[in-house]
Amino acid sequence: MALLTRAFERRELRDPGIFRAIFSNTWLAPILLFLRLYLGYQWLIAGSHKLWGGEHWIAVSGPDGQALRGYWERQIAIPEQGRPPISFDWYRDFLTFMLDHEWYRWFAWVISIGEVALGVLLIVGAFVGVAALFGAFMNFNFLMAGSASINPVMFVVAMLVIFGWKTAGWIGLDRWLLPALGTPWQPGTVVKGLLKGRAANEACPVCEMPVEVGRSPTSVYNGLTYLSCCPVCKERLDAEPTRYLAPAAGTA
Amino acid sequence: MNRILLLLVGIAAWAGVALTAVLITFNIGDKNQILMFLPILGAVVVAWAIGEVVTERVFNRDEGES
Repeated sequence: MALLTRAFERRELRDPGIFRAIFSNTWLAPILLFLRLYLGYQWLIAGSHKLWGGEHWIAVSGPDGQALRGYWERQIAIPEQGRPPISFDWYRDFLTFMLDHEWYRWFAWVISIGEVALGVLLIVGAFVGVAALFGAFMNFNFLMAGSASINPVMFVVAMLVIFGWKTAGWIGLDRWLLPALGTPWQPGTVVKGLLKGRAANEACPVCEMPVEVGRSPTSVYNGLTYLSCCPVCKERLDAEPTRYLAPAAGTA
Repeated sequence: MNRILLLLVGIAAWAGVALTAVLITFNIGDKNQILMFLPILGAVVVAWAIGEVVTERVFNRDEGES
């Protein structure tokens, strides 16, 4: 038990300086801007082909998503000779399930509009990390479905943008959005204003016992109100707030 | 009032980037990728410059920076 406790106790392993210099420092924001614009531009092109270009995924005569249906049918087919496009049986079953339930009718809209939205978000630099994550997920799915194309390159670029999520949108809207909205673990100025006076936790940060608004003792740290289960825990929390309210603890 | 106007100019600048990108994609497509990429990059640079002026006048410069 002691072995497990020692092995899995909460420890923060800091990133090395070179990693922080590349992905967390604004001096490389112009490089990340180019990567971000490349990604956004590619998604915008891909989405535009499906929305209003030659591929006609949606808004055509007849039911929507026929092009996507054809794509899925081609990809799940197992040829008599050679290797099938999809390597994993579970993924083929997944596409077959979506085909059988005619999900291509609405999925074509999700993909087409999603690609254009991703492109715009990456180009204006809004929520860049999240946009790149969704983009990488789409690249992953195209690769799983057996379409290489430029997806491997886009996937790698998306990974770099995800690593640099804090500065990739520095020359963009994230310059203002991130400080205003913050992150799930560190609220920004606007969210802090909304949370002011409300408790930021449902369990005591010290011993994880349940807390009750109006009865439990309160402490204010970094603009947020935290509840403790008892005066002893409140004293401990007030004495060492960073120990109990660290990001890894997930309470703030 | 001046601050709100500046803020609106900043927002409009980035909305202009989005509009530029969509319009260029719609009109040029990927016939010439450089021809398409350069105006988008130019729009971003202009919006960034406007944004910096807005930040200087409207926001606290050190907000969120470390």
